[in-house]
Amino acid sequence: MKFTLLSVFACSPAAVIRGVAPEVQSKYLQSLHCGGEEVALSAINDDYCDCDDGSDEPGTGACSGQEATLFHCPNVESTPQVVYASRVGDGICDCCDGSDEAHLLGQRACPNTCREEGQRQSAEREKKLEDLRAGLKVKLETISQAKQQKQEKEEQIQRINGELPGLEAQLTELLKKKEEADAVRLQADCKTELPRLRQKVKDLEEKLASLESQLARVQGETTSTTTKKVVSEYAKWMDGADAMEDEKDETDMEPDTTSQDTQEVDGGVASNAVSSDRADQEEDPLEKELKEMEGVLKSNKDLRSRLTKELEELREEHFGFASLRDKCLEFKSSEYTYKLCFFKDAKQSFTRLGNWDGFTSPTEAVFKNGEMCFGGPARSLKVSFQCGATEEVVSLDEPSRCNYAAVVRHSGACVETMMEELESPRIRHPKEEL
Amino acid sequence: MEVVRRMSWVFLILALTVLPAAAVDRSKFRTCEQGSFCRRYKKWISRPEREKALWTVLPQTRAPLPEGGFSFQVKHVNEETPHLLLKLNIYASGMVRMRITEIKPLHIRHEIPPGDVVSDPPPAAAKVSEADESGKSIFKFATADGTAAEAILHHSPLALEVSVGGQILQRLNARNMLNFERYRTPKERLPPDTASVAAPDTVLLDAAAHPNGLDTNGLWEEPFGGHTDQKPRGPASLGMDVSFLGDVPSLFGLPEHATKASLPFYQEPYRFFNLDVFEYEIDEPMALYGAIPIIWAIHRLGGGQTVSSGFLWINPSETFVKLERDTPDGKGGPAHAWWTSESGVLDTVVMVGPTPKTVSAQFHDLTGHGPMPGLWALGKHQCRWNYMSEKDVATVDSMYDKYDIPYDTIWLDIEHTDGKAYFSWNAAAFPNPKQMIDNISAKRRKFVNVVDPHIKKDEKFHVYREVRDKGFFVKKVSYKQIDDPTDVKPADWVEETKIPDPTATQPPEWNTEEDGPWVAPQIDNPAYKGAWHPRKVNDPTPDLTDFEGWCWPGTSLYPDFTDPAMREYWGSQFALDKYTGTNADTYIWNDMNEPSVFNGPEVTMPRDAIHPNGMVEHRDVHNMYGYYVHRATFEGLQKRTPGDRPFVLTRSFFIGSHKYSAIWTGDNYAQWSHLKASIAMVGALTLGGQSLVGADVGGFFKHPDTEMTVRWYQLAVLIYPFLRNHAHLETPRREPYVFDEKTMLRIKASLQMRYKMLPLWYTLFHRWASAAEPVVRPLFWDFLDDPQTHENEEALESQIMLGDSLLVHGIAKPSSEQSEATVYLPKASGWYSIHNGAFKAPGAHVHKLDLDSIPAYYRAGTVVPLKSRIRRSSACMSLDPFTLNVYLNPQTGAAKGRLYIDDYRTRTYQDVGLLCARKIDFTCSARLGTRTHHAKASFEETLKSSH
Repeated sequence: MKFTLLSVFACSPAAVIRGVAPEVQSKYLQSLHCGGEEVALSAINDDYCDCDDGSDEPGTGACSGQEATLFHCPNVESTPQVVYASRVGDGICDCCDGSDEAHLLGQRACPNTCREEGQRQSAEREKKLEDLRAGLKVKLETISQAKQQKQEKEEQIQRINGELPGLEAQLTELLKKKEEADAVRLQADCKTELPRLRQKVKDLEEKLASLESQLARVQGETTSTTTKKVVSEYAKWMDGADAMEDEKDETDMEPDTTSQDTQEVDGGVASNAVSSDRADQEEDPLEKELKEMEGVLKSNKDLRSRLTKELEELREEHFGFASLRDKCLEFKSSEYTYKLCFFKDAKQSFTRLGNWDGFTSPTEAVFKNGEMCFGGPARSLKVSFQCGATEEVVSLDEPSRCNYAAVVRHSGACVETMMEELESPRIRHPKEEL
Repeated sequence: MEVVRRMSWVFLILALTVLPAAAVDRSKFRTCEQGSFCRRYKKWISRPEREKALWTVLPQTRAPLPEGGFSFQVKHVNEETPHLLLKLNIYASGMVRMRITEIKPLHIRHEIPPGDVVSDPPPAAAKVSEADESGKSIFKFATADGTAAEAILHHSPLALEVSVGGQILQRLNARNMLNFERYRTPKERLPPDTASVAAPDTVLLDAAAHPNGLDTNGLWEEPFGGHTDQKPRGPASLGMDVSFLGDVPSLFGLPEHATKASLPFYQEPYRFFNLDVFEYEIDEPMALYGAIPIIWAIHRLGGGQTVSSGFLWINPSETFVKLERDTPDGKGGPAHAWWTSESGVLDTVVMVGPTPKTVSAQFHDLTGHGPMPGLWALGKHQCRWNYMSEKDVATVDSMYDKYDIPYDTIWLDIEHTDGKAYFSWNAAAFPNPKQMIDNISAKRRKFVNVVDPHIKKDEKFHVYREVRDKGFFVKKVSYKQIDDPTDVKPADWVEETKIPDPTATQPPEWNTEEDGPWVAPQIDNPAYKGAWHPRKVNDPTPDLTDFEGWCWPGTSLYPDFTDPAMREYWGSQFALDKYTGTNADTYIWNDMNEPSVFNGPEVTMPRDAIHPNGMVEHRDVHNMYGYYVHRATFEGLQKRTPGDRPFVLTRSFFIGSHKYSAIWTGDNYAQWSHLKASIAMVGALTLGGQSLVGADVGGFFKHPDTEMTVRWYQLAVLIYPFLRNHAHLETPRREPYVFDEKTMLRIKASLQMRYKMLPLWYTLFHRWASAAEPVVRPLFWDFLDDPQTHENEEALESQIMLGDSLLVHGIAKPSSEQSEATVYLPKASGWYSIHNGAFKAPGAHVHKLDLDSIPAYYRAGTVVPLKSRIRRSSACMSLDPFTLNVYLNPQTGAAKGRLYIDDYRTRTYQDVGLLCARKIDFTCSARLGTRTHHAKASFEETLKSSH
């Protein structure tokens, strides 16, 4: 059994129902039901909450705590808004017209600031509209470029796919030729040695047996091994170079930079060593041709995998952000310089905050798996894009340790529908951006 | 905030390499056995023939005390003259206080200044009728409620018996464990013929005087954990036992320990030594941040009568308490406690009850009543280590508004400062702090900033310079040994190593003219005593320099807050023109005030540091350091905004902290065990007078999952008077709005329930401030006659009462492990579910659990004051109408309740009595339907006029 005693302040009957938008007023001319019971019209705005959804008290704070029925402020000369019932009569001026605190009188009354607010808002809207228009223009260009690029890339991939079998066949042919030529040359070399060695036989009889056996071995092996050795050394270098390239591509996606760094260093040293070795040798035209052919093949394959990756990274719905490709934006805080390189990585001075992990929504992206925090998670950076014609980092914070958050202005975040909202602003809702 | 919690990276690495994850580092903290005085006391009380009378009260020496009461001299059986003085006071509210100190101590024995713990003037003396019988002095008096009581002082052996209604409840020194180490001159400095040194082995005095057979380690210096405690004054510990008589099923109290509500009888004594404990564990007698050494006992007497009594041990030095039973199973029968403290005087108070309500009233009669907190302090507090910028603060604030979630206060932890120089701002992140706080004020909300007591050593920091120049910093003594100037070489001391051989004679053939004069050959001097050195003594005027320790700022100094002049200075720093960037809605959080010294012994200040105020050793005042810090802050805020109710949160505290501060249970952990333990910890603290108390919701260390977060909020909104969400720097954000929508809505619903119930909370705080009733309390406090509340595990450890009206059962396991709870509803006329109004008879009930709520029941016959309009802060709701929910007693059709209203923020309720406190009696003769009635009572007019 529950009794409720409460104080009541007088509410004057009015022609319009307080707190209700003009277009909804008519609803209150008919009967009102809530919780399966009809509510007397006299109970509307009587400052006593009869309905859990607040529908009987659209104009008072009596049903504070629910969000089904919101209080409507006309805000003439500014934008109408709805506020939570909890804001009505709480002593804080929430609406520029002061209608939420109509009971405050005299000095404590809320001043009507709608004209100023309206002017400020329309100036802000104007600025936003300007930004939006400019942004949309940039975005359109970016998208059309991106589309064109996409087409080009696809064509290139197609081209490569078409050319590759022919190139591979050519390479096989060349390899065969070279193998044969090498075998011939090496055998010839050995033959010129032979008379000289025979000359030595007399002086070095004790060594003859061994030399002969050596010779026999050389003769026996020349056809197969020697040729292969040259090829395999080159292949090794190529493999190394390939591995290095692949490694680089992969580590862009992978968390572990340190291994990437070492790989890069090792790879660099190795390739230098090999090329300097090779510089000592006389260049065989056939070998040169072979090398070139292999280079062509590899660069085609590399290009194909890069283009494929790029196409996958930037889907059509994010073409507006295509201009961020190969671009880094900087942000200076009092302590650090942040560098956000899109589709690559983000850094806080020398600390890697994360590698590009892709978009998570139409206007959000994330860099993940940065350097580990001591005893904590790996660093990561969330990027929220905000509509604007220019490209810049607006803010960069660390809301909880090692979880960073950046706001980046970019035309990619501009959407046509924003135009409508800015041109004819809708009623403001409390859950909208504050 | 704990040590490692905010250390620099280097520091963290050092610390974590030695710490296993999620566990307290025991090696850092002393046990009884590792401290010399406790070890000595333990050995001493296990001596053979303990029953032999050692201490005798000399009745003929009885004299009235100027402050009321009597004194007696006390003589040791092996001494000629009495050396101790016993003071006995009987207070009218029903307390017997016994103090023992030295008559002529060699050094001043530290006594807490009047008014700091025990009110000044002390409580009114009882009317006492005296009778001397052989061997005892009897004092008859009546408790406040008229119950006849007696205090009987037995002369030999000294013992004090306190009885109520003819039943003995407590006996002090019942087991003859009273020990009192008098300050002594070190043995080597005594003349060799001194009696005490020559005393035979069988004599038992104390360890310093008579080390034979006892443990002499650590008497004059004591190493621990790489530090050596210099003790130039020598040992001065004291100890005594108390027995709680009758059948005593449970003891309660002893805050602050992370233990159970019904205190376990651990092997290791409970320790009181205020410390910054990193990642404390549950079910432990280890010391924590604060100390209120009070024991509550339940006595089941003959004839089905159950009464309650309290025992308070007032000593701010390190203290151990051991709970013991006669029976090995540790259940039933009398319960005993022995206590020992490192220094100071023995000061004990028996609160004779005989009801829990009177014990609480007696405690507050002794220590003072708590002030009404501002209503906002009972709302939701949102804290984090750390909100990093003004924008961050504004965002948190607006996100609460976005989802219409109520909250009252936003907090900034240490990172807001300029290099941890408190009273300053990090200018890059907080360029316009005043504007930031003004924006919070504009939402009718409040702001709390952390100000820790350690002072950054930085010439540019004005507080450092000023405290240093005033000489207020705690000092370090550079102990050195010098030659004793009183020691002179004895006249007969022979120092010559060689002498001419006395047996040698000049040979006859010696020709003096040719050979020169004859000289006897040198031989070793048989009388040689060795080189004489004066004996070494401690330099009586050693160098005193400011003590420097490590804390958040790096090198830090620690003001002597025991000095009223220092407190005055400190308080003045909060003036709005001094503490720039703050406004009158800014309140203060004192953390790290144990004090925490990262590189100190046990992460605190060395015991041999010197407080310049009276040249008191830190050991003498250690457990009160935090108290003096938060009191200075409170008094400063009082001066800053006259008429306003200050708010200070403190981590460290002592008996009497309730007059100044809110406390929280420190750096807890996001674990179910910590959620559950908070019920017992809050209950123990409220029994210690500290009603404005709470634990960090969600746990400070680590991150709670959504279910734990929801369960923690559901419990906290109903049983934490101080409701704060806080989190470690290294955890993800956990403000209510960051969770998934379902979770967010559950948290929001909990917070809305809290705000709805604020009138009940506020009314209960008035009962606390005016009538000493704890706001939240273990079940026995209201239902002493129901034995289940003394022994039922669930009723003791999972349940607690909010006032006399709401019973709450905490859920401390995930739903995967627990799908139902057994709720014990004590003997009353019935109970109504807070959630759906369902009526339940007393007894055990199985409650099916869902994630939307935890079990909670209003007692039948209660009128509960509420506010149904939930707004964004408590101030926004201040003028809203009240809703009275009436939970009828089904037998009588009646219900009673209270409602207290004032202006919620100023001291006018105290100063000019501008308040409205109403008893509500509701009766209905006819059976009523369940329809909700609107009624305008004439009483509401009274309410309005009282504003």
